[in-house]
Amino acid sequence: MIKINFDDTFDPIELVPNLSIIKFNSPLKNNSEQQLIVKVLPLGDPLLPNVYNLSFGPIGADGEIDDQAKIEHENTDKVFSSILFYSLIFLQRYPDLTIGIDGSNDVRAYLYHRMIITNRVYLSEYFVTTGTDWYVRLLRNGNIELDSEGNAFFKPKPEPFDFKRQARDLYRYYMFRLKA
Amino acid sequence: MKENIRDKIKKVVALANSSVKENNSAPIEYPSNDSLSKSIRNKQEADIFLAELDAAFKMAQSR
Repeated sequence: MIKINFDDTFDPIELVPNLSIIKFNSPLKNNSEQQLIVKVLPLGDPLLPNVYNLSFGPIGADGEIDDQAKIEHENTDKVFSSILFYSLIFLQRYPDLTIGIDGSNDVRAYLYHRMIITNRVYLSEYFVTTGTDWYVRLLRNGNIELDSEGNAFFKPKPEPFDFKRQARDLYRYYMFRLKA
Repeated sequence: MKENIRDKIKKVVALANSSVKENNSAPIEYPSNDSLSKSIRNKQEADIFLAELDAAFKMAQSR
């Protein structure tokens, strides 16, 4: 169970002036160290200009973040506290933006969901969180709405994060903003 | 917010301001491969989603 504490975070070893990219080192259980990078960058969708994506992890061989990497951190609480702390600083600089997390796989999404629930009180001082599911419309003829290619026409529906919703019932997408 | 957290934030921001690194990394690709982006197909859908998102945040903020 990850416990978030902004009093205990890793110092940045490298960061850019607009705070969108920060690197820090995380000690590992095998006594080595792993450099992690945290990026908060635009989704790249002109229809969603104020929605940014949070990604983090070690840099892979291709120079991109390896968000599938399995790493044995010595202090996982501190790693995730650092990631969220730097997200907080970014949002304080850009308070009109929304940060979204897709969760590269169910394992990660499960982790985020549990982390949000477990640290509800602490995080509520800094962030406001929503969850988004995808829904498809049921038509009067009993069929589901299809798109032009004949696929189910899924639409994203956001809601305030439901803290009664257990981690076995994951949202499809998680988004947070700075608490006003 | 606790004073020491504020101080920590100020230190990081000061460090960022003194950084000589260039902003941003590789250029963003269009269209985005993000699942949310894939589910928004046009401006009408985006406007609806963003309005619902704002409403959801407003409701979450007031709880």
